[in-house]
Amino acid sequence: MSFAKMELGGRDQIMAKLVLSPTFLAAVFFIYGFILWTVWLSLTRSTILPSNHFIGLANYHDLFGSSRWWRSLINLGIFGGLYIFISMGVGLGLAILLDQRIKGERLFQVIFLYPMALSAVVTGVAWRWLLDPGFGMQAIVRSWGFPHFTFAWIDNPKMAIYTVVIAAVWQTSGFMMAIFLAGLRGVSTDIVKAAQIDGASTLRIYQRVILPSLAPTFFVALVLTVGLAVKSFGLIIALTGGGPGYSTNVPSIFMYVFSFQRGEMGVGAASALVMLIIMMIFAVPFLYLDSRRQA
Amino acid sequence: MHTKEFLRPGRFLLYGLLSLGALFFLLPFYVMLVTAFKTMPEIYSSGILALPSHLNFSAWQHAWSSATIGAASEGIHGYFLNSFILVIPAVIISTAFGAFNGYVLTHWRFRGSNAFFYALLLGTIIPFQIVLLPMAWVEGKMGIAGTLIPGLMLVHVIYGLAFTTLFFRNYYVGIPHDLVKAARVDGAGFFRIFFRIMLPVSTPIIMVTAIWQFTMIWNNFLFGVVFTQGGQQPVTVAINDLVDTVTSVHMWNVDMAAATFAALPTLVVYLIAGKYFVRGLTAGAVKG
Amino acid sequence: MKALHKSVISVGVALALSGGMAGTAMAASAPNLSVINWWTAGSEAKAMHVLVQMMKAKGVNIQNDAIAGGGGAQARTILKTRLMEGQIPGAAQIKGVEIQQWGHTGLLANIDAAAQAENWDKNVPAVINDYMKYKGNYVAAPMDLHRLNWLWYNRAILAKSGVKSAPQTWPELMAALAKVKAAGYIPMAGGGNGWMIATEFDPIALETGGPAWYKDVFVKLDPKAIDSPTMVKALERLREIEAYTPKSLAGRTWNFDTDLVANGKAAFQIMGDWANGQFEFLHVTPGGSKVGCVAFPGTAKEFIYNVDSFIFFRQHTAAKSAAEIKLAETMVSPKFQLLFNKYKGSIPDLMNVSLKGYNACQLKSRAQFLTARKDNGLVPSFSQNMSTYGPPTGAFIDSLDKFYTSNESPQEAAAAMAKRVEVAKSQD
Repeated sequence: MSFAKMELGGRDQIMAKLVLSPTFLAAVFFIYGFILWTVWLSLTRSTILPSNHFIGLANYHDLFGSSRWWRSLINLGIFGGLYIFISMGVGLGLAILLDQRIKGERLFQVIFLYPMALSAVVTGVAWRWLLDPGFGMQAIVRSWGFPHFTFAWIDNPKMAIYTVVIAAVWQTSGFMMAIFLAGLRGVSTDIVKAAQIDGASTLRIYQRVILPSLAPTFFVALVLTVGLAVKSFGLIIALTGGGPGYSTNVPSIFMYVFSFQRGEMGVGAASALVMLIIMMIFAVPFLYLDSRRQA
Repeated sequence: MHTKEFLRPGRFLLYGLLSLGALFFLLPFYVMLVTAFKTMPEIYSSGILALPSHLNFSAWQHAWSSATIGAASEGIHGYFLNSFILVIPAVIISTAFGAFNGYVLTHWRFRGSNAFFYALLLGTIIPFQIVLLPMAWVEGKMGIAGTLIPGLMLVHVIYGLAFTTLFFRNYYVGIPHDLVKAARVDGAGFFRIFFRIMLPVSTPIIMVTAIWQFTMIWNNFLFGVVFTQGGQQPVTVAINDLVDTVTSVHMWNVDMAAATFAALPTLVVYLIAGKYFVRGLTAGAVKG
Repeated sequence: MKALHKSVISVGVALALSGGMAGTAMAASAPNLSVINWWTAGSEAKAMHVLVQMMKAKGVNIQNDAIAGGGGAQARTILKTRLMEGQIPGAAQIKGVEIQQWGHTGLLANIDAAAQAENWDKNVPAVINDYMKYKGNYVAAPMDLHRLNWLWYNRAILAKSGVKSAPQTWPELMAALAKVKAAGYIPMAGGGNGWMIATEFDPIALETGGPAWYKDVFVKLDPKAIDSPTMVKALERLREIEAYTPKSLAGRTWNFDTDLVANGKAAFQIMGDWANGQFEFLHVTPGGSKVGCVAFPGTAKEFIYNVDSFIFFRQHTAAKSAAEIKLAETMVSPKFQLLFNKYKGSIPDLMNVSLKGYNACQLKSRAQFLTARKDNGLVPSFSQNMSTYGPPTGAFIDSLDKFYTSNESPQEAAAAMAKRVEVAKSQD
């Protein structure tokens, strides 16, 4: 869809810019301004409170010398990647299933969607119980007559991060489902009918016609899941406390602990910046693709 | 959709898969509810999936009106009111801004408006911890620190703008620009076009945006605990105070009851507005 | 360091000045002091309520800003945001070496007047008073005196397992753990999170190396003491304890473990004396017939201490400053100290009050404090931020975390620990 050149009619155009200006100012000040402040903070010797003592890149040096930070970065990759991929995948899958004229579609939608309504603390605690080997799923399945069934990921430093994925996917995939369902329902029926008349199989139709037209839907879903991944601080704290040890730390937890608990605000600020830069790098290709599509 | 002819043999499989999924999704909520109706000794002795021996309402009553939270022992009901006072205006304001922003960015484009939009999207991935200290400083200077309205509300409105703008922009892009052009030829101005053309078809996306914002703001803990003080705090802070005790015994049934109370408004919003939600998305909210 | 001083002080003064604008507006009403803490539940919360009432009787309004979460992480966050907002609190729950860091900022108030009124110099041990002072002036008030090197045990389990008496030495402890395991009970309850691992390691380290080595490691941060055969031995001992701690207790809070000991499911717990409060809550009196307490094997003459305290911030009005002095006085008054510590499981900082109504373990604690004080056996707890704060404590905790949850050898862990601490030191 392309726009013909708009005539830039004086007063209205000024009105338009005026209307946009509060958001513009808010973004400049409260988003970019604060980010700049964080950049400055990361270059200072800030400990329990912000300080103005410039020390160059020393905080970054300390940051990347910390095994806890590396663990956090790796976890962001594992958790972020799996979470985004699986919740979009499950969301899409559920949407396709629900799109098949199901009886009780509304009921299923609510069941899949309600986890979004729960706060992080609640989700974390409920899942912590289910995942606890002592009385959660492991114990329950064993009581059903499978004494060797093991599911103690949450206590295992190597596997605990995957339990976070489970809880986070549970919370968000219903919302992804709703988004994809809408996208599916918006696909032009004419194109699909034409393909059916041409004799294409269901799979082919999905592959060649339906999924590609979901590109804009994917974009929104991606932006939202990336944002939610970054915000998953509360869920992880409630579920594992960042442990065992620090094995489920992610950058947002690292930043919070170092800035506010350990009195290492400069290092905390550096970690926040690195996390932001990584997310931006990840997002840029998708933004570019979307802007191309808009043109 | 139109492929149902192809899937009839697999209908059984279809319902089977969906039901399995439903089970997975319902499990934690079931655990929560069941725990809230048990007594503490029962919780210690029975399995987490076991049904309560009888429906015990004491935990619910305690959570609502007498649990010790912070300095008071009045349960969570007061905090409930705070959350409503906070969320309703915050949702209305951020949605309104999102609508106007989306409108401008799609039908009143100017050089740099696209760049502005993508730059604004950074607001969706900014980690909230970055915001805490500088915002505290700003609110202190403005003299609104520690207040629910306007203090906390301002924070939520500002950091919701990126999302609400995203929703409306992607929706209004689907409204043919020719309509706007025709209206301009007829002499309609900026606001008239918005109220006569955009708004009437915006119900779906308003629902989507409002639901998203409601969920995000209602469930937000970090901003709530930092930017309000004392009796002004939202219900998420109260829940955390209950659940996050290190030095005393957990009353799990009270915790779960309180958590269910806190989740109810959002759940109700989803139930009632759920149909608008999917319909809203259907009507082109997420198309390009 | 000087440059750091100056810049931090300049920020501190700027904050204080900007706070002055907000402060003067409120000067007209009765002094209202915000007291930031994280005692949101249980007996500590009740004690804070009592403090509020006591202060009201003296004409001072306390805003009990109790904020739950993360061992104070949330409360610390809010302390900092309040300062950024220009809302200077009256007092905040900060303790140990961190008090000095706050002193550097120039934001703290001089509360010598309170100390003189209640004669802290005479009635509170010097070792505690030293923490409360910055450059010779009192800036903080102590609330309690906790002991870390305790071993709690369930009498019935020990009897049923054939353990005749509570272990007094390391070999006895190991033998007891083995017997309990053979009898089918949980030998050791613990290891649930990083803080608990560090808390358990505290007395183990002391037992292995003695007070002098402990201080070299955790106070002086001497790399040669850290990367040493003694540390390797201490870590080996931690491993041995870990072997007797069921993995299923990972992620469990310390009071869950205390419950296990009280309910006859687990035999031992290594925990500070705040476990007293938990036992009492479960109506099991420590030192009574069900649960016993003994100094951690090998540390009977020593006392690893942890002192909770409140720092006081400089105010801009005379009324508020006077109110703060009253608050500090009340916090260290015999009446409040007796009440607060009884429920918290610790002992008062005031040595001149008799411990009426305290349980047997608390009485033992007081006796062993006085002995340890004489014999140079007082040691500041590293796990509770008494010996260091910030990067170095973080380095120790991260190292122990890694060691406990991996297959790292004690030698590797000791070396890694020394390296982390070195890096941490350079951040000061």
